[in-house]
Amino acid sequence: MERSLWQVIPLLVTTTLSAAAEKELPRAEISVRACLACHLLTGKPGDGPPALTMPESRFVAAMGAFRSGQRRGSVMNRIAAGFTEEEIRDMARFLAHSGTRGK
Amino acid sequence: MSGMDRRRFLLHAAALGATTLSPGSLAAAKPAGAPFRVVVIGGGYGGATAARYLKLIKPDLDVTLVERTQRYVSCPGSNEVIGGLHPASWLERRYENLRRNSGIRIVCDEVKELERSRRQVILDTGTRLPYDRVVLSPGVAFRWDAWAGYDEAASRRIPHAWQGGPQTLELREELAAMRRGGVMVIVAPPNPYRCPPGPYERASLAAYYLKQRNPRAKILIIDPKTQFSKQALFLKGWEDLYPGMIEWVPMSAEGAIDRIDVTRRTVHLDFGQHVADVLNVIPPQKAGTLAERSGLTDESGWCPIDARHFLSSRDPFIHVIGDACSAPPMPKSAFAANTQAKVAAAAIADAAEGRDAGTPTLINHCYSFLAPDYAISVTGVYRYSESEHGLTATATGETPMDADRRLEARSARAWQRHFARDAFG
Repeated sequence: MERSLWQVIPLLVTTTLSAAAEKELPRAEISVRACLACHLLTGKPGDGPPALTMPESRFVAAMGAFRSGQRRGSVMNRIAAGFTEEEIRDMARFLAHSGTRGK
Repeated sequence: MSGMDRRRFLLHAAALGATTLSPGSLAAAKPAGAPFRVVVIGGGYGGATAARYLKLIKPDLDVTLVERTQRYVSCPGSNEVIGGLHPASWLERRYENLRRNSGIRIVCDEVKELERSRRQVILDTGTRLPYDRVVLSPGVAFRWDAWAGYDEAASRRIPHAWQGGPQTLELREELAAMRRGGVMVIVAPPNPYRCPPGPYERASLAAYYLKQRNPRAKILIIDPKTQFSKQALFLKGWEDLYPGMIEWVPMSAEGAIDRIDVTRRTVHLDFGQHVADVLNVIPPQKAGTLAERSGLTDESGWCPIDARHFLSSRDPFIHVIGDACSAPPMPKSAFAANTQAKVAAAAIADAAEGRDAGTPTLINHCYSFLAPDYAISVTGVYRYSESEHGLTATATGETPMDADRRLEARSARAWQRHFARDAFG
């Protein structure tokens, strides 16, 4: 199951990330690639952290809450603190975009 | 070169790609429409990620990965094998998925020479691989001349086990055979080196093993530094899990390392000496030998780069990533190599299309195990700074002191599985 999912992911990454980044949000794309070391782009994460593709508002809210410390998650507090609000909004926009294309 | 000249030079090199000739290049002009050729040297976490993401980002690139072994043995995780948590086979990484799914050509061979003037990689078998760009990910080499008594020959008797492979197993076997109540001595390296928390994770997991089989045994860490990565978290963990078993001897206590006597398993310091039953010496390090041989290192022994594209400061057609490159304040870790590989891959895809790449954001996130259900982590987010001409940390942090270490251990397991797939497919 995990394996077959992973065989699909590279295709999604190719078509969605590069297509979405053609004209816009190249920085957001670079940031999102770094996240893929731990997160799936889409799909069921199993025992891992949640997949990145989610509604724009949910991504912004989650990262905002980690950034402010309102939501505690050990790892994500530290990572969210490294991004500005604008960068988080760009990543959310980029992911929402790639998510709809991926489906 | 002044800052301005240097920047112009690098932008120029990035924009040129290799569809046009750089002045002075001896490479033959490429016919229009010919594929953009990338040779990735080194199939560790950095090289495998680079090869994989090059094809993901731009599938029409011609990507060759050169790796000397058929099966790579991971260094991340090797402390867990030493501590008996996993069999040695758990560290094996194969290239089947990369070969099958990604359209990368994988060549099992040693690089004889990186002929920069002709832009060709020459392999031991005589094969020549012409390139438009190289991604060099050679890992570390050891400074065999740094500590008297510990050269390459000595390392065959007393393992460093700082590259995944036969020495990992050797050290594990020595630990298993150690006399009752014996002393294991780990000599930690000076900065910078591969995996900053590694020596301390090793001490922890050796203690985990010994606590079950040889509970009166002791572990001594001799350190040429005065502080180390995740120090407070390690010290707290040792107190909680292995009280009295692990002792850290910083340089401030007994001075510098004078010499190492591998026959008597003795470490001589300025103000003391320690005799070991099991000795593990992790020597000072530098960039992998191919980087040095190819003139890509500076006086520090590491490869200077422009952190926007991880492009060598010595050669505009070679990207150096991973442990071998100098990218402070990022630590030398497999995770750092993975994130750097993606930045280099994006820059190459952009160069192939004649665009300039955006400035990168990079992440490092590493776990250390102190026991199977006890882990701690360190995280950093890094960005290119125009004023610093290098990376700066926008956030760094460690596991909070009051955090649940079991939860961290569970996250670490998921992270290991996922991360290996992101790199090796």
